[in-house]
Order: sequence, then C-alpha cells, then structure tokens
Amino acid sequence: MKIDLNFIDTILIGEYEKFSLTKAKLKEMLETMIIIRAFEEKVEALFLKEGILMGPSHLYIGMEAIAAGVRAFIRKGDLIISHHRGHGHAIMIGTELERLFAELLGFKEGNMKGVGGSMHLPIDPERGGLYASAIVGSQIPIAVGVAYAQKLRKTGNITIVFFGDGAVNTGAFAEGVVMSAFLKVPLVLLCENNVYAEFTKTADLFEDDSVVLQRFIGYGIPILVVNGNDPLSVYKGLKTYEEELRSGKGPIAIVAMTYRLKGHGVYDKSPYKPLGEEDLWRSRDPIITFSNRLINEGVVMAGEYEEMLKNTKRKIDEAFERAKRGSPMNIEELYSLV
Amino acid sequence: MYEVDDVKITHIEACRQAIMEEMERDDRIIYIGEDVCKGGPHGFSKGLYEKFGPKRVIDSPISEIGLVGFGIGAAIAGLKPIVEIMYLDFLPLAMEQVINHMAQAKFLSGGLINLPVIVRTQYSLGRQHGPQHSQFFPSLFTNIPGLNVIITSTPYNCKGLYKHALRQEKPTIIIDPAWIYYRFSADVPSEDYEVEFGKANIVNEGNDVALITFGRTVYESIQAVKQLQNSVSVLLIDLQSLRPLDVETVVKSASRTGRVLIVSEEHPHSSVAYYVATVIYEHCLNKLEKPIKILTPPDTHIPFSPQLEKEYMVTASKISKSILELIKNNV
Ligand SMILES: Cc1ncc(C[n+]2csc(CCOP(=O)(O)OP(=O)(O)O)c2C)c(N)n1
Ligand SMILES: [Mg+2]
Repeated sequence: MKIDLNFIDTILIGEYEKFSLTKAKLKEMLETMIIIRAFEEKVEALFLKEGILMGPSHLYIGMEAIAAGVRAFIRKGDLIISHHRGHGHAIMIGTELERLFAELLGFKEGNMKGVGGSMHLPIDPERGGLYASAIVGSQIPIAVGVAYAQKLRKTGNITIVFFGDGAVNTGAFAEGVVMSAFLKVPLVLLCENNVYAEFTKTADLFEDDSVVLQRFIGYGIPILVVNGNDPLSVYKGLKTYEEELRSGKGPIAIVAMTYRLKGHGVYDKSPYKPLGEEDLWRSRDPIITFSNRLINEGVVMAGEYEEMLKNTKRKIDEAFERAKRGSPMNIEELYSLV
Repeated sequence: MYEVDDVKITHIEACRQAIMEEMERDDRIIYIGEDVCKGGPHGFSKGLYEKFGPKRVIDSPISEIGLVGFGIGAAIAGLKPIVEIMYLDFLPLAMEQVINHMAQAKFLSGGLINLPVIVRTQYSLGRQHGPQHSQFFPSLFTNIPGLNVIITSTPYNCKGLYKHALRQEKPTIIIDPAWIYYRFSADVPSEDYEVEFGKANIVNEGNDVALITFGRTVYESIQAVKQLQNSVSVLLIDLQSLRPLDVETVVKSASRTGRVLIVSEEHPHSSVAYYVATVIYEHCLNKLEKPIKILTPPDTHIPFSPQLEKEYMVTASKISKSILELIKNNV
C-alpha cells in the first residue's frame, strides 16, 4: 500500500477561475471569518466581562479560515458533524446568530431550545448540521454512518466531520477511520490541528511534531495537509479530491494546521503557552492575512473591509440584544425529549 | 471534635492532601490522566508533578480505554495506579475494561490476581457543562460485583476515603462532586486518618426522619437540616460507600425513625436510591410508618440551560419540603 500524502498550498490569483472562485465568493470567505470572529469576541466578553454566559465555551478564534474554506466548498445536501469547539461551524452553516446566542443563554428560542448549549452548537439539520459531540472523538464513527446514508442515496453529497489534534488519540478515531475506509464512504475527516488539546501540546506528548499526521497513516486513505490559516488552502484541498469524494470512491483526511489563539475554554488564560508563541500566530492571523491579500488584489477595497467589520459588529450586537429577550423552556418539556 | 490545630480546607484541597501524603508514603503509587501535570481543568492534581516528577505523574493522550487498561495492568504488576478520568461522562468509554477486567481479574484468576487500581473522577452537575459533561450514574458501576464504588462529599470524608482507597487492595472507583470542590470548606484533622469503605457516616443525629443521601446532595441536605432544626429532628446519613453498602446503618436508621427520605441526584430509574429503598423494604418494612420517599431530579438528561439545570437539581429547599411532607400527619 502506498501512502498518499500531499501538502496543499494556497490558490494563486491566476488560478481563481480554475477553482471557480469569483470575487463574490472570495468576499464571502472573508465575511464568514469576520462574522465568526466578531461572534466569538462577543461571547468572550459576555462570559468574562459581563458574566452573562456560563459554562465552558470553546472559542474558534484563530481557526476561522477553516470554516470559511469549507463553507465555500459545501453545497446543498452536504452535511457536517462537529464537536465541542463548534461555534465557527454553526455560523458556517448559517444558523441565525440570534438563535445561537439564545442557545448559549439557555433559552427555548435557541436552535436546540437551550438544552444542548455551546458544545453542541452546530446542530441544525435544516442547514446540514447533523450532530455535534462533546465527547472527544465520538463524532467520528457517527459521521461514518451519516456518510453511508448519503452513499446509499447516491446524491453526490458528502459529509465533513470536524475534530481536533487531541482526538486522533482516541479509540473512536481509530475505529471510525477504519469503518470509513472499509465502507468507502463520502467523508472528509477534517482534523483542525490547533496545536493544543486543552493545556497540552499534542506534539509534545509524543515529542514528535508529525504525530497528528502519523495517526492517519495505515488506513489506505488519501491524506492532505492544508494551511488552516488560509481559507484558499482549505478550499483547494477539498476541491482537489471533490471528484473522488462525490463519486463515492471513499474518504479522505485533511489535516488543517492552525492555532488556538485563545485558551481551551473562555475561563482558561493559557499560562502554559510559551512566551511569544501567541504573538507569532497573531502575526499569521487568518483574517488579517486574508483581508490584506484581498485588498492587495483589489477584490475588496480597504474602506469596504472597515465597513464589513463595523457592520458585522453591529449585526452581532443586535442579534444578542434580540436573543436576550428569550426565556428558558418549561422543565416539564424535558420529558418529551427523552 | 478535632484537634486545635485543625485547619479549614476546601474539598479539593483535602483530596489532594490525601493523595500527596499517600504518594509520599508509598512509592508504588503513580498518577496518570489527561493534563494532570498541569493540575487538570479543576486543579485537582496541582503540585503533584512538581513533587513526584515525570515517572510517577503522567500526562496522557486522550485515550480513556488506554488509561483504564494501563491502570489495571500496572496494578496487576504490583503498582498502585491512580487513573484520573477527567469527567465521569468519559468513563463509559472504558466500560469494557472496567466490567470485564477491573472487576473480574481477581475472580477469573481464582484469586491469583490482586489489582489495587483506583479510577478517580468527578461529576460536574451544577456547573452549566451541558448534557455530556454533567452526568451522575454511579449505578452503572454499583451493579458490578468486585468493585468498590465511593462517592466523596465533605473535606473530611474525601481525605479519609482517598487514603483508605490507597491502603487497600480492591479495584475502586471514586467519584467527587466537582460542584463542592471550592464551595465546601471544613476542618480536617491534622493527624493521619482513614474513612473505611462499607461504612456510612452519620452526619446528624435525629429521630423524626432518616435522610439518606450521598454525593453533592449531602451538602444540600446539611442546609436543609439546618433550615428545619427547630421543627424536625433529622437523622442525616451519608452513604459515602455505595458498594460495599452499609446495610446495617441504613436499616438501623430506617427502623429508628420509621420515616425515610432518600435523596440522590442520579437518574431515578434503576438507581442506587431505588436499590437502597428496596434494601430497607426487605429488612424492616414492618418498622416503617410511611412509604419511603425518594427525591431525585426528573428522569431526563441534564439540560445545559443554567436556569433549567438549577430547576433540575435537588436543592436544600426541595429536600426540606420533602421532609415536611413526610412528617405531615405525624401521630
Ligand atoms: C473522551 C473525552 N476525553 C476528554 C475530554 C475532555 N476534553 C475536552 S476538549 C479536550 C481537548 C481536545 O483537544 P482537541 O481534540 O485538539 O480539540 P480542540 O479543543 O483543540 O479543538 C479534552 C481533553 C472529552 N471531552 N472527551
Ligand atoms: Mg487541538
């Protein structure tokens, strides 16, 4: 068995057409990232400064390019399966911001009636968000079943399952990947490698920088490494295998290299991060990098970008104000959910 | 009751002291779990790594089956491993290891194998952690012969229970209610002590009602007993050890008061609470003046919504209300 491993760089300006990238699509990528960032910053403030939100909340700040790249790729009928760090995925599939805030507030107006909360946020079947697990790795075998259903229906649709670098050490990962390869399901195993699993660097545990990548070897599935801070690299990775995926040839793995710019959860100030590491990754901030690029390429005007930031912030604030007017469901209703 | 130099410490600090002291005493003890070298998300293992180093305190990958299996093997080979599972919700991942190996190795080997492995974890009900990080299902484990199943509830008992766990030879699961980690501070004796398994703790003496509970609701029950101290005399029993169960104390208490309230934050169906009620009916039905009252959350999963979660939980005022209902029409 040969190992099918490729590193995918960005898409150059001259290749936009080849990858069916229009100005509108590029702008949409940037917009997705900006909305996620603004949402997460609001969530963080509501937790820390105002104490309005409670519980663990795992922010997507720094990883927005992955969601933007995926959003540009998926089409109607494609499905996503997510995990505890899923706010970005929820926004990616387009769940209304107001309902997301309501969910985080524990209100019945939330997309899961306030029952699921932060760690299940991207569950919104109408928009392709089929499930999200708070147990690390457990979503992977579940996603195989979802993708198998798609395979039977022969619609050419695919499933994308998100998980972190820490998840590759779970038993569920190993058996999930085995099942996906065995059943040749149309599944993208999308590992968001943000360096950390809680307070520990996955690479440090094994004293091996390539450990996450190593975990995908041995199943006979193609492996792509993409730049998780560049939506175009993520998008290109997916496009490279689109034909195989949609025609039912089997799963692929994508390892998106990125960085968690915040703590594990909002409460975590990450004292364990080495000095300068966050600064280094701030200099690779996906939104700054991509907006600069689009401005340089004339896709977006500098003023337009500023407008986008301002408008998004306003939209987020308004959505939260509306969400705040909700209320929790009646506890008796919980019985109807079991 | 205690020495003059006793100090008030938090629940979590008392747990940690027990483990520190035992690790100093017995170098067969090792501590392994996710992020434990950095103290873990609750700060439970803070300072262990600095004190005992990388051979005895080990950060593990997110591999729960691996963790529990490792602990069993290390114990079979003569070590005393403490395996930390970050949340009780994750222990079912390793349920096969627990049921078929941890609980059975001694039995299937005709007694040749001893495995003093400790699996310790916590449940986060009350901390807005949502449906998959808040659960409390001790009866999944109490159903299995061969395991000790221990629930801590006060700084005093947690220190003594952890110490006892590390000085005996049977596989043991210890579950802490994380909600009380930093909320419950109390005096703990400075001299060495153990709290034996199989013994319930009489938290408060009383004659009107026997209130039997364990885990986080011990804290709530103490408040309830205080609220009612001028009107009802409550015999408050903390089971602490769910397996082995202190049947003697349970039956004696029920017989003495004739009125029993069992309080538990489990899912009620097939729970320890209902098992304890059965034990009482089996042994002293004729001593009961009223049917046993059982107070649990609704038979549903745990909602994330902070407001709903609060309603879901068993509080001191719900306990007081149940006690008052039990003594209504007192003759
Ligand atoms: C089976 C299991 N073990 C442990 C945890 C606790 N936990 C939650 S997130 C996390 C780290 C996950 O790291 P990674 O997979 O890299 O995802 P990230 O949080 O970095 O996005 C851990 C250990 C869990 N939720 N499930
Ligand atoms: Mg990670």
